[in-house]
Amino acid sequence: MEKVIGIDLGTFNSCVAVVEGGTPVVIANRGGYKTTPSMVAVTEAGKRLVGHIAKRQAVTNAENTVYAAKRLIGRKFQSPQVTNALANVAYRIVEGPHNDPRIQLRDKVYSVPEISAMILQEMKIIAEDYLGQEVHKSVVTVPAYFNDGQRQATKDAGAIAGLDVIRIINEPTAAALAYGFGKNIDRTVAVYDLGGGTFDISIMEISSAGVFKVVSTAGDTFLGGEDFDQRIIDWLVDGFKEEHDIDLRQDRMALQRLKDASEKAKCELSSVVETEVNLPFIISSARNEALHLQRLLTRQQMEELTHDLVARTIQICEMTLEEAGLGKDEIEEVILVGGMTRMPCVQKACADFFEREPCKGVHPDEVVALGAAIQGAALVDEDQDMVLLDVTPHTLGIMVVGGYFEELIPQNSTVPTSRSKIFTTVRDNQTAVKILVMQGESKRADENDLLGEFVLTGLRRAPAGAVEIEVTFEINADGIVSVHAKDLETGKEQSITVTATSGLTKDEIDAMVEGAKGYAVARRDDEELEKAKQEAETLIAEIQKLLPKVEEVVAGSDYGKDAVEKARTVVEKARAAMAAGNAKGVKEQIEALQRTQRMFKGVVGKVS
Amino acid sequence: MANEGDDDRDERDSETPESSGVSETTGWSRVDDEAAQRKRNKRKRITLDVFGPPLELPRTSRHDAMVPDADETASTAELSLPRLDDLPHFGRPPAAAGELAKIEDAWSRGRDAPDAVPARPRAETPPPFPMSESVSTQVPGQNDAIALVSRRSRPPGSTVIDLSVEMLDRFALGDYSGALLAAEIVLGKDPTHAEARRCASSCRDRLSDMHLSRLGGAHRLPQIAVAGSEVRWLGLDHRAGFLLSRVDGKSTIDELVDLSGMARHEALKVLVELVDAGALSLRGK
Repeated sequence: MEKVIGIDLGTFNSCVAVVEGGTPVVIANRGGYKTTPSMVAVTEAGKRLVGHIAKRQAVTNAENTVYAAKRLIGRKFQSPQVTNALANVAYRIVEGPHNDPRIQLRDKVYSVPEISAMILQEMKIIAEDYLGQEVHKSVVTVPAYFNDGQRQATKDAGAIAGLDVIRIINEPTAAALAYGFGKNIDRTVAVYDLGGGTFDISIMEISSAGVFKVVSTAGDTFLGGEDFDQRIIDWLVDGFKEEHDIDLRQDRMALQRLKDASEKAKCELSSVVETEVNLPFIISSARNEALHLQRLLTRQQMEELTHDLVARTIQICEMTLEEAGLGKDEIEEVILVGGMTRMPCVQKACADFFEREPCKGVHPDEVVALGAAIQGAALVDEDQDMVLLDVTPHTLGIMVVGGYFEELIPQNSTVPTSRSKIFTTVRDNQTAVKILVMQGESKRADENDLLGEFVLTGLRRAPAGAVEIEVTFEINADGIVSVHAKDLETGKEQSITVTATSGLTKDEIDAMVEGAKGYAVARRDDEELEKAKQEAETLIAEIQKLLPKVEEVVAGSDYGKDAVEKARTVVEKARAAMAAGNAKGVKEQIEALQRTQRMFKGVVGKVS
Repeated sequence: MANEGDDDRDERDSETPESSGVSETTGWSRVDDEAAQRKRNKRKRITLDVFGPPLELPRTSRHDAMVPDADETASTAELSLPRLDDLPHFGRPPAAAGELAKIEDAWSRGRDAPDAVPARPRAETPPPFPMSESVSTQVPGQNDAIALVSRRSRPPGSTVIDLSVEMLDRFALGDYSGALLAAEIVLGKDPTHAEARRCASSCRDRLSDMHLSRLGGAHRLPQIAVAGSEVRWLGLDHRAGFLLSRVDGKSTIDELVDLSGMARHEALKVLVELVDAGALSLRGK
């Protein structure tokens, strides 16, 4: 059975998991970390960096390091989120040909799905290295509030990365799935997700029938671990300025070290009550004297520095419960998601607000990826009795007179589904109606997303309200929305099919897929070459170590001299192949080097 | 074999590399005196070890192409930085012809019987970077270090240093750091200066190669070799401190260079300094 990987494509960190032998497991990357920073950078030499290495140079190469691309995916260039990002990020965001935001790294402009694809490709490689086989299918998670365009853009990112995204699921759904795995429960849960850059709270109803309903969701896309780190950085910088009258913010190298040290200190303070931030040679003074930064940070101090951030998350929780029309006592479980929820003060704030201890049974960094992997396995395993139903992430409807939004298919409806409603004309002798198909939860149409529009013409002339038009919304199993409008008297009808678009054309996606394939092949080749080079270098070193002894032994024989000469030629050839970057050539020479090494060992062994 | 005139020229060309700094111009009379004195000295050959393999004068027919005219002779002598005779090593009174052969030292046998030891064949030096049209037409067929050294464009008596020439001279002498500095200054004034760009790029590559060979390869794994509490006793600057903070024992030299935020040759240089300071050890082949 083909393996399906579950990917939590996070704003700041991503995680990949797979179900093995019926148990979902998270796959660690080459560095041994179970999460990989969702960061992509391009170095001065044009080399692409993804993950931890990109993060470790994010400040020193800020203009060419992309983070939080998820905030931009599937959005329009003029959207408030993109405008906000334009003001806050160091990398360059430019307008794309389809009114979409694009990112310029060095001299190349990338679409946002392309950037996300680089992260997904990294996760795919991590999984393939672990499984020892190629992976083609995946389930990718997205925030519950993502609209169709954003979901489609995420799917496109998967396609560019060489992954068939067989299902997109909501992050809280994935968390709830992992939480409820094997439990067969009916429960209302709150999923409190405080990640690296975003905060989300979702109230969910889990049913033993396999339906995971998002009752209410809210959050702040600019509130997360990054803000906590920034508070610590500010505290350190201010302290250093007081002491030395030097602003460390002006030095990128110093700032990069401060960022790393702050994050480390924050993580440490989840398990210890105090930690030392020690950064020797942080900066040189005007007199060219190296200065060091050394400060003790206690958990209490950090909590004081960040208490308003935690309070803000609780405020959002309060609003969400109110919106869902639920009391705290109706929440039966609180699931904590995101590394930031390891902070004792966050756990305490949650426990105080929900008046219950949060669930400690799931790993906050891994739970979403695990849930995605569970769903992936269930989708390809016919023997599994788990029923997982796709639901509409948002309400679908049309705009009516007064600029209001009239709901046809409510949020969380299981698909496929179909609903109809009858509308009438609003003016006398009205012969045409414009149907604006929209998606969203707001009562005001202009606050929702416009998916498409069409006009139904040829209506009979009649007083206002006399002509009746039936509007039908239909969503098929693939999530494609069709809208029909029919004049009930004349039978005249008009329809539209709404296909979610990421802002990329098919040709563009195809070209990006080819580009990504090329990168994957080049990367594998590089790795192969490096492996071969290392092996060859080891053999050469051994041969050279043995050479003087062998020369001594064979000094009297022409045959021996010839053998030594041949060995030298083999070494030279291997070196030439390594210098030329010829993986095939190096591999060919490895065999010859091995033979030479065996022969030399034999000669030396006989003598000693 | 080189003729007598060649000897003079050899001497002059070999001297210039010895000077490493940029000095003020010397007067004409002094230059003439020096030239005359050098002629008297008749030293056959000077080999300089500037950086890397010694510079040698070619023993090929290309000498003919390098015979400078009278003006060139003057300008060449005039450009030179600290004069050889001012240097302690060369400060002794000029030896008479043949005197060298009488000196008993480790080299005497070779001097006394020069034919017994055949001259080391000179390898063709590939051009460091594509030379501009003007250079190639000025010295046809010359593309090695000596050709570059002999190309003096500063007019006699000028106190202005021609950085383009300085850049090429330094490159030819293997002073890649100096050549890079000169190239960067030239590029600062004229970012489109093609020769300076090529020179800068070539210098960076060569400096990187040099540092990398000291480190033993781009795939070695640097490890911190001192205890955390002792790091601050190392005499580092903030750039070295930064690079040291990036070392996690898992990142290769190549990866450290990538995340250093510095130019490759600079990052490698700092790594070499850290290894030399005992702050880092290197693991792996």
